[in-house]
Amino acid sequence: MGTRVVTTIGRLAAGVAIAFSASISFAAQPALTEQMEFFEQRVRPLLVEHCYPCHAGNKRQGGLSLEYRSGWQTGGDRGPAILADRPEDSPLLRAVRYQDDYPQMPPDGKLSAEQIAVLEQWVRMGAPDPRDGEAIEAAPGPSGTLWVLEPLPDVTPPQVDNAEWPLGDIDRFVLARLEQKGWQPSPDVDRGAWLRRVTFDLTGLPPTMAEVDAFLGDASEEAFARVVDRLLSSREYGERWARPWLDLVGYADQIGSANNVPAEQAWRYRDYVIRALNAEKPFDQFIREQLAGDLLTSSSIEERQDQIIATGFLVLGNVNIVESDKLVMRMDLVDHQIEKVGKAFLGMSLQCARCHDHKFDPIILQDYYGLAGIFASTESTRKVDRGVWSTVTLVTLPETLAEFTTREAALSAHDREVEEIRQEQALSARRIDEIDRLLETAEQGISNGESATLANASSPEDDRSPAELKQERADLAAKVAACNQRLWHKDYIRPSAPATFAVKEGAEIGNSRICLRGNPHAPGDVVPRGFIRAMARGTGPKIPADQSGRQQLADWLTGPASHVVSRVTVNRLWQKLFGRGIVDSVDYFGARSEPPSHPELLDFLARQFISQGWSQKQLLRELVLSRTYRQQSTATTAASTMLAADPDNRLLWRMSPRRLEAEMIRDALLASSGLLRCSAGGPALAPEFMENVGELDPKSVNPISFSLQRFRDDAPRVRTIYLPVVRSSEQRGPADILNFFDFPQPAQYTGGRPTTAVASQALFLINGPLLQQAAKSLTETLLADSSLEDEEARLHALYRRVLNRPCTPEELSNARAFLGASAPAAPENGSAGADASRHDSWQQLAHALLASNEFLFRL
Amino acid sequence: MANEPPDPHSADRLLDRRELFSWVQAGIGGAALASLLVAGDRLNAAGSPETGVDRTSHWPARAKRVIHVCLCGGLSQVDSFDYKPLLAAHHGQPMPTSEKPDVFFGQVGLLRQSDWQFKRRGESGLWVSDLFPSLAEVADELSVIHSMVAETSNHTPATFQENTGFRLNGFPVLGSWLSYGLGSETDELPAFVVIPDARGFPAGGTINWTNGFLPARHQGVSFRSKGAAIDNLAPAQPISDSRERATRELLSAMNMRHMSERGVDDSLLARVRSYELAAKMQLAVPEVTAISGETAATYAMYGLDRPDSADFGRGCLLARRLLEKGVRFVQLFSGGSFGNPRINWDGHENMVLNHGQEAPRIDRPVAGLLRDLRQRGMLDDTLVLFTTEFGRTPFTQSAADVVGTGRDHNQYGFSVWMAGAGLRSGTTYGQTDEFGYKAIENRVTWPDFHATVLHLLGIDHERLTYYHNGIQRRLTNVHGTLLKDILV
Repeated sequence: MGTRVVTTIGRLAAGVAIAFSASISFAAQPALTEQMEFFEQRVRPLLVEHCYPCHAGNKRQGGLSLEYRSGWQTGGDRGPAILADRPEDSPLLRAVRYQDDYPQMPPDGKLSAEQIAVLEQWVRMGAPDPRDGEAIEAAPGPSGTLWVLEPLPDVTPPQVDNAEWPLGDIDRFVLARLEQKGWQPSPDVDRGAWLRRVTFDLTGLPPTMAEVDAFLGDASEEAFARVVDRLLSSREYGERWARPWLDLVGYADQIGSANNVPAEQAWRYRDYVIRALNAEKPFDQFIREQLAGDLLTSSSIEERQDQIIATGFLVLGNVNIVESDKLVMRMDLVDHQIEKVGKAFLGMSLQCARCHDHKFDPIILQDYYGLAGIFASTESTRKVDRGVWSTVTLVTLPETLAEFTTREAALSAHDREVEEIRQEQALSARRIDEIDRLLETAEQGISNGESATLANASSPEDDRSPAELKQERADLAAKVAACNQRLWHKDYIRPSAPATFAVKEGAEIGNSRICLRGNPHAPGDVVPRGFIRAMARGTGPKIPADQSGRQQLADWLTGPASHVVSRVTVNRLWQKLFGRGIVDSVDYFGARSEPPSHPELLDFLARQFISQGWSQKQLLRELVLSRTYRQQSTATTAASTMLAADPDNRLLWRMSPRRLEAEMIRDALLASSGLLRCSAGGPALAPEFMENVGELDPKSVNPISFSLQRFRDDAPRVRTIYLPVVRSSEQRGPADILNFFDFPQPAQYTGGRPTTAVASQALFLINGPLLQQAAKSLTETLLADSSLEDEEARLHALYRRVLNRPCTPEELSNARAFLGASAPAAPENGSAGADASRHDSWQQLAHALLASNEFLFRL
Repeated sequence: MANEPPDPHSADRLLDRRELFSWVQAGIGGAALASLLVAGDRLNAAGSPETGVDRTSHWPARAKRVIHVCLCGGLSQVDSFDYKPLLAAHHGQPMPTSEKPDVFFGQVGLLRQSDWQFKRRGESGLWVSDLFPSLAEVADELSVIHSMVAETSNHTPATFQENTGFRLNGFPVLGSWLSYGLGSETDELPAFVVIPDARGFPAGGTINWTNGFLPARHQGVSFRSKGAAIDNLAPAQPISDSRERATRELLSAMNMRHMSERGVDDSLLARVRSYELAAKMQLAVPEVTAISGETAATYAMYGLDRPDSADFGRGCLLARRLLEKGVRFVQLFSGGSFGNPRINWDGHENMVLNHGQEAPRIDRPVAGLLRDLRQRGMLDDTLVLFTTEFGRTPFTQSAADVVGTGRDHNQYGFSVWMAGAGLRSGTTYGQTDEFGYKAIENRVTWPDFHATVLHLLGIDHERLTYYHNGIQRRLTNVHGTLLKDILV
């Protein structure tokens, strides 16, 4: 009974936990039985340290390998090393106990009693051992054991009992799983709520009142598809979907985390991602450009620009640009790039293989250094002449004629301003010379015994004392110095040919050596540049001796490894719409990930994704038009079985409700209150304000630094994706919402964000300036709208703007009561005091609505 | 204690009933139902936070609350608490060893004696170096563990391990487990408060106070030691109290009605609860952070009167005040993340400059904290932890034939200490080898350390569990051996 109590309550609590934290990034921790955990924590390290030196790889002393389960099962010269039926007699235990006449192992010293006890315990457990594989000198190759490495099968959507329900193939897969359990999907959500859901999901914004009216006024089934097509072709689509990609890139407007070094050109990459999404750039091309855009051919200047900008993917992470050990710095960057490529495209943690073959996944040291050679043959950073610093490589972009003309015009204006500063400076300098002469004369006069005034000096109008003149001189000198600062600043922001953070083929191209234990100062064997052998069928493209291999890596990802890339990519999009991925750990598809909830569906979609030309829009279109997506998110009492058995909604018996992400909350607040302004993108850091730029002196040993003293006037009103992202501190100014609502630290490359509910969020919503501004603006609009003839109409308008629905009779009476009670009982004679009070009451009402759960959730 | 012990507030009750209802509807068998009812009774019978009744003890708790001082970057054991005469004797010689030590940056220089003098301190005669002159004066309060080992010598995962027992992220930290296991003694402040270094967050940032898979309200809430403790405590533009109250009530009514229409939904419930806590915090936080009322003597005791120790002193003083108000676990970070110049204990280049910069920031404040807790009688049931993610090498990080000035990371042996309730004070536990490199006697892992902390708080580390993804998860995973020898 005791155990049972624990288990039952545990399950109950688990439902609570998952719904509370709804964490995706945490899910990378796979379910391991405690036995396997025991093996991994206690047994494996022991075997690796004490037994592998003579019993693994091509070393099989006494014919025994302990590298895989099959090794000790088959055993060596003395037969199986572990005896399931007589564990105490197992040769392995007798050897480590230094027992009787057995070989004493390890030969160089007996294990500690504790270590022997671990092995004994393991053997008594039945020697649980996850290490599949053959204890032979196998060439690395497809392991065939990990499902994600299998080619994409041609899956036929399953038959379902309830043929009425599915709108398409996706729904058949989902329904079939539910029917297996004897479950039913949830009813469709009402149309208004569907519109709000899909508009948030595809554009990150709520629908406008006009969009709601148009959709509700069109009862046809095609209305759904029309909405989706409209949303997918909006600019806002790219602005919303770029952000999850930037999460994976570790994007920030800062290079590294030391000294606030600005990544002035990072915005070009952010805008590229938005452009690529909006232009429906096929995902395979998107990959190719980001890894090797500089090596591709182009047919226009704009295309060439995008190709170069795209390679910013490889350098806009948490790149260290100051490190005493340059070799380490370089290998760390290479490691960074390998990690990013592994995570973003392959759903794998590759960096373990920097020091040793991956413990669980089929990634070996040679694979890692094969990739390392590619990135080590690529130039990503270069030394600058300020102190010990380097910077990310800046590549000049070709310029269109229009850009050139604009720049020329800007340049002449710039030159005029520079000239003005120079003249101002020269004027001050001349006046300093004058004063110096006056002072000199005066000094001579004094030494000649004349009066201490300058009345007799050469300049009759200047009758000031030397002290006054000295003061003026000091002021002028300060002015000259200030002009220097201004000139340096002007030089920094001089309109110049566009340049971007990008990579190039390195000056030296070649293969890398293995770094023993990951240490670049301990070089091992040279490894030919290449890819991850177990991940693809066949050998993959050959890398010519004079090329880094980035282009071939891109070809490999989109060719021989496309079955992995496609699964990972489809799963990411799925996760953003349904709350969880089909594979829960969206960044990790390895052996220790949990199995997919709908493996056939994932394969089906991944295969279709490739056959439909890697089109994200096409995939998203199909997903949001499914019946699965149309389910309501409320768990009715009829759904209590499913809620109890599947609180995480893994089987998709309803739509999972989700709190909006940080950017969506802010953008929706601005949109609903009428404050939102379009932005065309562009530089984030506002370097044109001198107070935002430090270390301007060219003789400084530190690089130019930025601070966010001043934002542009429109910053509080543009979409959040256009605000600057910093690494070394909390997000600033209008972006401060990111500090409260689970924005990932840009040092991480992550495909999932946790969702927390903590008091600091409540305080932000109640007391922060953003909500107050939004409520104020909303109130002003509503109270000034003369088409709203009475309070009831105004309240409906408020609800429609904020929640996309009219208010219910109950809400109406509650709101009226609130407005009546919170306004002082002043006569309705239009006095200024009563007006102000009425305004305040409305503002508070609007504020409450904007902070409400219904507003903050995408239901 | 395998389940979530709810607060006795209405929202939880509501949840319990709803869940119960849905289970009954689902036709769950009699045994399961009975177990729920039993759980309900137990929880209903449990004390409320206001009365401070310990709800969950597996045995009588020696400690009721914890302050955890976390030194980021790696405190050198051989320069602080682990005295090795042979290190001085072999200064400038290679470490006699058969294999090349495995260190983070790969450079193994010659042995370097400590730049700080070691002395026996207090009645206990505990060895403490002059790196910590003030802590040395309270040496008799300390239980030093000399034989800690970590699984990695990389800051971020090592710091996670120090806080969660796991190197990978995603697991709840110690403070969250305690918040979950013991609840709070106050409903005005979070159970788990974090005070990051005034200069920046530790490696890995806010993940170091994550609730992992535990419910989000067990997440650490970070307080600044300088300026406004938390953001948005007061409205950006002032409004009248009555208006604010009316607005809150309206918002609360909106949310409750929305929730009642939607049925069971924990994410919505969590938000409602976050508003309740926020409202109480608005009153409690300004009060608890108003340290200006403390005496000049207290200021001096915590080092607030000195520029180098004022930051950390404020944090320590704030920590004491938070504990007095019923906060369960306060974690103070000494040191931020990587960067240049260094703002943590990561003395790769020059130990004298680095530890010489960091130690004065915390020495007087931590010693003052121990003294103050002692004089207030709080040390009898408060546990103070002083840890670092790993230690440093006895040899320098330099070429093989050079005595360099910096030390590399060392996961194989390092020192931490505990003080306060239930501990044998003025003692040491475990040993490193004669150079202070590797732990050779009574090796202590983080799960052992965590198990002992839980034990002192009245919790059996094997029974504080939470079901997640098919596993009854524990802070100590499948490990953890109680350090009986350091207990009274």
